[in-house]
Amino acid sequence: MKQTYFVLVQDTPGSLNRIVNQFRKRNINIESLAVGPCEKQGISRVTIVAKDIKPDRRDFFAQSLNNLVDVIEVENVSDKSHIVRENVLVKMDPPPQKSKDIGQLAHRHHARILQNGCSSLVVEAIGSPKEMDQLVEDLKPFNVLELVRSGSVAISRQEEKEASSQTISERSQDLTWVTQQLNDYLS
Amino acid sequence: MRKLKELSGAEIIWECLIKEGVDTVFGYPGGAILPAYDALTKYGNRIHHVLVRHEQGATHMADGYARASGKVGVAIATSGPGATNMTTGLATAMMDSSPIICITGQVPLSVIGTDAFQETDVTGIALSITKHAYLVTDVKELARIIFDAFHIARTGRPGPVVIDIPKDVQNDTTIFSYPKARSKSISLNMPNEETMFGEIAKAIDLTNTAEKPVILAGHGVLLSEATDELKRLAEGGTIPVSTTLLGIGGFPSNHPLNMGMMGMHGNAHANHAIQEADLLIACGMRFDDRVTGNLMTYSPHSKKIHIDIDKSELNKNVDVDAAIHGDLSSVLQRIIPDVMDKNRRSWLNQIKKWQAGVDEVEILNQPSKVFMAAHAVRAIWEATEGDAVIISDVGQHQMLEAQYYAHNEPRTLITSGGLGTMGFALPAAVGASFAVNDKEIWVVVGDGGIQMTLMELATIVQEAVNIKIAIINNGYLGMVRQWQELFYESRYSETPIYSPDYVKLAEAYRLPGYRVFTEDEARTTITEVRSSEESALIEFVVDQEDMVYPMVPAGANLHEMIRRPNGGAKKASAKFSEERKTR
Ligand SMILES: Cc1ncc(C[n+]2csc(CCOP(=O)(O)OP(=O)(O)O)c2C)c(N)n1
Repeated sequence: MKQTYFVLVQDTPGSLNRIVNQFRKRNINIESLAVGPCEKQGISRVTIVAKDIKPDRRDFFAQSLNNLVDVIEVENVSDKSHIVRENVLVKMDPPPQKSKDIGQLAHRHHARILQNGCSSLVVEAIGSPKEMDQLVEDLKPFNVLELVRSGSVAISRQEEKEASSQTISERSQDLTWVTQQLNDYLS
Repeated sequence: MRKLKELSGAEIIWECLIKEGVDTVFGYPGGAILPAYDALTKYGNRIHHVLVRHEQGATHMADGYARASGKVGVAIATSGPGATNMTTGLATAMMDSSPIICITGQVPLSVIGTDAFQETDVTGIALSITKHAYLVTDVKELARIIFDAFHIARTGRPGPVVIDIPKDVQNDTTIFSYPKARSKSISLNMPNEETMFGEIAKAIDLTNTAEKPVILAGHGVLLSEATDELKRLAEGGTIPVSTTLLGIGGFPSNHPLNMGMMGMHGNAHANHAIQEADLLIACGMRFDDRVTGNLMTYSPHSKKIHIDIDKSELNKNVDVDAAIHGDLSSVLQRIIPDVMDKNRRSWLNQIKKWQAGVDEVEILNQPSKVFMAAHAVRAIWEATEGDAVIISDVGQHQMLEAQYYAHNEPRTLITSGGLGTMGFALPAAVGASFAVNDKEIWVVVGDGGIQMTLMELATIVQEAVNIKIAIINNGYLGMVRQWQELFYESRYSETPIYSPDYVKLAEAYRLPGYRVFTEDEARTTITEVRSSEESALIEFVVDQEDMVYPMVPAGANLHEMIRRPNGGAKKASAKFSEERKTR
């Protein structure tokens, strides 16, 4: 089973290595990994999605990460307690007659279309990993040249702000920016 | 130009060790650690350096010192091969939660990453076999890192820490001041007293309602110094105790509630009790596969309480009903006052019945004329009145030691449990000898294991320490041979092993050496070597194809043990023995 861990770690040489090693030494494949600075100086946030961790082992992995001396905090975010987002970039070279389909598809997924300067175009989207899976699936028939996924990043939900717990599709009633992009592209 | 009061990194290393109360270190010099060794000349009157013969030995010595004393052991080596030689000792200490610090020299910062002469990625290699590893990149950080390293090594679940110090950092100077508190950046997953409440209440409840409880006592009992609490819990609730290999000594062997060791070569009645129990109280142990056997059928009727300082051990191998993340001795102190004394006579009687069956198939009760490893161990036990510190190696003799030497005090058995490192015993004993001064020290080692680290005999002589070495010579890598006999139709592939003449070997190292073939000879020789303050080596030539029983085959159900066949030991293979006698 896929598990997503959210780790706060000292930003020191080797600390990421130690985190990754907790999975590697148990022969667990990491599907995605995102690291970056956070609001605290000298501390990084890491979001790891690991494959094939049995449900009864999920806490074990969290605790063994927690045992690392430079790890400050570990959370399993596979449940609903966190907002998990991923960025996807897809470069495509559709025949001119298909461009419109892509435009509509992008619209449906609340994706943006970036002009690439040449005949190809780049679809950019942000959403939950599930939404991104669906987008990638839907784009497959349109001659995908390159696909890049950022890996998931997560942030904890704040109890008092329920609004922020909606998914992108629930939230974006205001689609003007998407439409704008679409028009730009089609014109 | 050096400013007033500035110290070099090399000097800071020794200053810090002195501040940590270290009086003995085990090491071996080399290019990248030269500055530290040069500085040692100034500190030699305050720190004793033991020159080992192999860096693996240095780590085992630090480990043996730590296990015997409860303090942090320190080993030092150079970069590259010096550091890689330490890996087996680090892994051994990691598996058995032993607090050691390994200081390694490293190539200068300026050439790190260029495959410089004797460069190895020590912190990289150390990843999976240490609790933490530091590469020091600034002499100003050195004192803080050493302070933190000691804190990490001994706090929570103890373990090994590596400090890799580039040569130029040893030469650089700075003003020395030793920190008073650990760095804030260290987070050790320590127990949370508040969340413990509920689980402790559950544990008390489970204990008071259990009819057939068993306490499983592991290494944590020693590490947490919880022997008194364990005794109070066992006696207060009339609860029988079984120990793991590393838990031996945590509960007196001569206590009527002690069922002895559990697991693969544990006592049959202890294993039966665990399988039939309605409650297991696991104290500082980790349900290793060598103690559980088949997990699917492990203690199927019991509720389980697990107390451990390492939260990742809770619910790892066995799902438990009360998971208490805490320091064993303080957790037990909170549980004990509420534990009721229940009448558990019928449970104890049941265990006694299982035990009666066990006694019949004991080696000591067999009408055997053959001199066996168990007899040798027993002779040492009798002579030392069970009061020696025994350092055992790995193999059949290790299990027989655990079965036939009754330990009553903590830290009197030192052995490599989790990693099962052959070659551990001799160097570990050297380390222990610097920590123990009120007890005799005996090494119990096989003819295989002694040949892995016997170069440390020179260290023993050079240091003039007093260690009695008992080589149990069965002419085989016995434990592997046992598996071949049982599971590979007696095809003894590469298990017969040739030995040097150990008496001459001892003499070559200027140690008294003896060879004995019978129990009587064993007794007189043991008495003789005990009368001297000098180290000595005794080779016990024992039955070659003896087996360790009971045995739960790997992965089998814990209650399905292979038992010693009744009616005498197997005939020793006559030809080979004759040959050995005439050698
Ligand atoms: C370093 C190392 N290599 C191999 C093994 C595998 N092994 C476990 S027990 C054993 C045999 C030990 O033989 P010996 O030292 O003669 O002791 P005995 O079992 O005969 O008492 C071996 C080879 C090990 N535990 N450690």
